[in-house]
Amino acid sequence: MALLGRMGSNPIPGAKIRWHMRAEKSFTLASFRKLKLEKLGIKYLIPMPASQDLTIKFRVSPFMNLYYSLEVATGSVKEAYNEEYAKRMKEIFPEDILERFARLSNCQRFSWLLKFCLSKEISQSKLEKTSYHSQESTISY
Amino acid sequence: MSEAFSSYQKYWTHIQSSLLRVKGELEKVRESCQSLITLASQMVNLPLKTKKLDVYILDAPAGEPINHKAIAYGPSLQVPFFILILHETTHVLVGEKIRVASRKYTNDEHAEYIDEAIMNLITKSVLSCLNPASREELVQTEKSIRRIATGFLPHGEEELKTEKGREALHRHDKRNRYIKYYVQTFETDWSTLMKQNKDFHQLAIALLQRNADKIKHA
Repeated sequence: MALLGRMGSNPIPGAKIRWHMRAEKSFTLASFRKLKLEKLGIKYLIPMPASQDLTIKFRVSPFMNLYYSLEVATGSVKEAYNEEYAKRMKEIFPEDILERFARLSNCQRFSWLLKFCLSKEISQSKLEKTSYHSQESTISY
Repeated sequence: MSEAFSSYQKYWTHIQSSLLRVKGELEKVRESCQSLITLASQMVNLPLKTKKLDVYILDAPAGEPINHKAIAYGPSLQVPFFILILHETTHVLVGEKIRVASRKYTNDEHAEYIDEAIMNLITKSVLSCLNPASREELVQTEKSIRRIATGFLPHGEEELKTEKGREALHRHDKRNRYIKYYVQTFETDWSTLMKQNKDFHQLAIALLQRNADKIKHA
């Protein structure tokens, strides 16, 4: 897939900048709307890098979601944008579980370690110990 | 965690299908995301530390690097997926380099703002290379994801009326204000230094040195 423009693909000589400026108008974040090539010093029309250097796996993991839900609910990362979510999670988890999690979380240090473990799929074995098995096999871990 | 999961199970059953739908949308643009990250790596002359990157899709509004081979991405954050994924992956690429170098000029809090600002500059530089067709493809996928993600969470403002909510909002605004300040401060020098094709560590040091006074008086 041609993600980036190639030197030979622009049919209008000298139109590189115009092509770019048209593209940038549609960025959805305001801060990305005023991108100026010259200011950024970017060589536009860089050949597309070979994506075989990297493979992305998109994952949906119940334990990773559980972890972040607990983290937001206990306010480990208090932000304006997650207040509503935290409120909802407080209705889902019993108070003692949230209290225990907050103690263990210990200002991020524990959470980083556990998230690291979860991403290495230790969660799989933990998951098997719980009563939840219904759709496990359909999820990519 | 196992104990907590029994309370969470019902909610998980409800949210799981939406997350899988988001996953389906992202799969359509997987190659584009891979290319963006590869370009970021080439642009800053920092090799990828892994050939396999896991992107965990969350219903919680969160986004962060987890380790050198995984990031968390919450579609309920109001940031387009390609910007968020690219931004978090640049954190993976750059690691602690900026924070460590910044501590010579400022405190930990501002070192974090500077780190975020430089990640934003890298992200902007990479995204400015997108051709219109690829941009359109990503924007359309973002729209589809946004439609799914609206089911995750209503964005109410009730909580922000509480003292805790106001504090969080204030902290959030302050953080954004400083990050914006540092982006604007560094932008011109960033483009100059990028043209010199320096080693990233040298580039970061030069950028901080050139702006030492502005950092000090931030």
